[in-house]
Amino acid sequence: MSIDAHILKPLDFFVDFKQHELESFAAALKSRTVDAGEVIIERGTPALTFFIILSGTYEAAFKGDRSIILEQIGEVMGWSTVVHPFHYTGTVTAKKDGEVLEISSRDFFELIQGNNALGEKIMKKIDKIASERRTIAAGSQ
Amino acid sequence: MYGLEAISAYNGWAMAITGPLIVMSGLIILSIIISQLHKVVAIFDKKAEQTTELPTKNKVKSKNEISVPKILPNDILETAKIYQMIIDKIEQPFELNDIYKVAEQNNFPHPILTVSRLRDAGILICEGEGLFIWNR
Amino acid sequence: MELLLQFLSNTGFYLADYRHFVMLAVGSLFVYLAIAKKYEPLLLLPIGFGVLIGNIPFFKGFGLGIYEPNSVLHYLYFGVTSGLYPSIVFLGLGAMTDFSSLLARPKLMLLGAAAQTGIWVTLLSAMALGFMPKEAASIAIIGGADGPTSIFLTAKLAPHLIGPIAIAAYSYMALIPIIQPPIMRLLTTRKERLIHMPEPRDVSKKELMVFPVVGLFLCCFLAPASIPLLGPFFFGNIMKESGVVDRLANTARTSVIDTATIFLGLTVGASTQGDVFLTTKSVSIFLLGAVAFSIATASGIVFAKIMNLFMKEKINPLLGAAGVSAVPGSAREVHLVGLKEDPTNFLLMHAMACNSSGVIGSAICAGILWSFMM
Repeated sequence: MSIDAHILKPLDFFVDFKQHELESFAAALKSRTVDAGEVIIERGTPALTFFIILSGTYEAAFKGDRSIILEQIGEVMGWSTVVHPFHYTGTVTAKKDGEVLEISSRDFFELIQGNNALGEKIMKKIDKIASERRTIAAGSQ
Repeated sequence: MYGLEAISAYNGWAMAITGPLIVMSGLIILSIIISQLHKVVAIFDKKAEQTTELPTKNKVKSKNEISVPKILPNDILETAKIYQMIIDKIEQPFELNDIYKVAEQNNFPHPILTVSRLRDAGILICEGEGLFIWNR
Repeated sequence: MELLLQFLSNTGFYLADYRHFVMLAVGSLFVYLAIAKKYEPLLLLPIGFGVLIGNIPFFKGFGLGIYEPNSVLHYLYFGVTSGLYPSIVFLGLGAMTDFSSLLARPKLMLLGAAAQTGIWVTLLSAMALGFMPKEAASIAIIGGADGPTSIFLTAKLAPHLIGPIAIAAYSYMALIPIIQPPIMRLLTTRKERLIHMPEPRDVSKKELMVFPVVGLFLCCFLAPASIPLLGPFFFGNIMKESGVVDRLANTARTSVIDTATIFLGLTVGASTQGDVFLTTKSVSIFLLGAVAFSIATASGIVFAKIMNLFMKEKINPLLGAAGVSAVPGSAREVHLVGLKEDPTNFLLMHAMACNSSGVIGSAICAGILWSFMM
């Protein structure tokens, strides 16, 4: 199901996005409900979808029994979709029922192709989150 | 045929030199043009601004020529004095449309109502065939 | 009994030879990669299934095969041989491409021109290997890293090679993450990879609207043979940028391009019939394609380095690798290689500029090659 730009506006990820940028991104996103216990990302599989949390609690488990809990609205999962290594580095399981927004890597790169500036803005954000996440995952032993 | 012999026989060298030269020169020209595109667009924008500004300037000029109160006086003779300034600008006999045009250009309030009052007061007299004269 | 024997002699089982099985295995591999590994499914699934369809043995003369007149597949294949599908794909590409980064930094367009060197070097190599000029030109265009352009030119010059050339072109486009990064690292120093590009200026809507008109005139006056590709391409782009036909632009970049991609993939796949495809020529085409693509990547990088010798404001030479027209795959690779060296170095927008000029450059090259061979 496609979503409206107003859903994105309050999310931290989109705090500095202009209205037309939100609309472009929203047009490429789809919402999806997730059941408790559902594995939405599996480590080692090709990273083809990027997720933004709208509700629910998710556990991301990395190599070596490291894991982090993601439950903040607007947090992202599956950043390997747009950065190296292009396969998921962790397994994400829903701990509670929830809702996520998702975008496929193909749609994401089409978005970049159609709006270079917006693409770079999103890439910068994802890269920042990815490096923060790497640090957290490496530290939470 | 193989090797250098084949390349020479099929005119390969000429193609491999001319081809990239054409592509490169084409894209160089295109890049020069698009590097100047914003300047050209800015010039057109400026011109467009100037042409939209012109009528405003004219308005100011004519405003200087005809000063109109925001509310016309109740006295029809006083109103007629103000409208006299319009009549001086047009040739008699005239169409009502001519009055409306000048009135609009000079921001006269409610020209249609005023013209109707002027006709009622016998100041604007119909000559027939849509033409009017000003009864001084 | 005779009827049964006759029927059996017309079945695929009876008519099959080893080439069919080889191609059926290749087709199955493509389908597997697309579905199980989700590897480039939009390309591999239609092509892979097309390979399966095209390689089921049948009794010649029934009007079934893609090369038999009046067969359904032959009619669908007309979109390939006439250049119709590539034109439609270009229409959609135009409707989805943003030229703002190219307009903000026009000198990056030269990298798109330089990366076409791979095409011309491969033209010579193919001639040297014994290919006829028209075949050599069709093989050379693989260096542009643009599937639809390769198919278009091959359809015009050497239709009998469409199968191997299309498969090679799309394979190398899919292999960008494997082919390009080593070449990028080999040809650049760490210092060069660390060069930051200045923020591009804002580009006005009017500039974006004027560009397709200027681009169309200049490119198509220069190489009229590229009109079937660049005409729809710039038309698609003006639909996108003008904003007055959003509905049409949206259709062009979704339903229209998707429909063309389905039939293009399916019929190109079906055209790889074992007896036509499994030849030494196909092997040479694959090898030459790899050479073309690697030289294209390298020449873009080297040209950027040469530009740096003369320019005050240095360009990150990695951007040269995005001069090939594989949008946005090669731009993404440039961006990622840059990020690996310095996590604060974002090259994506600049790489997109080279990438979009690469699309224009390879289409012009196709036009020039076509006119050279007329």
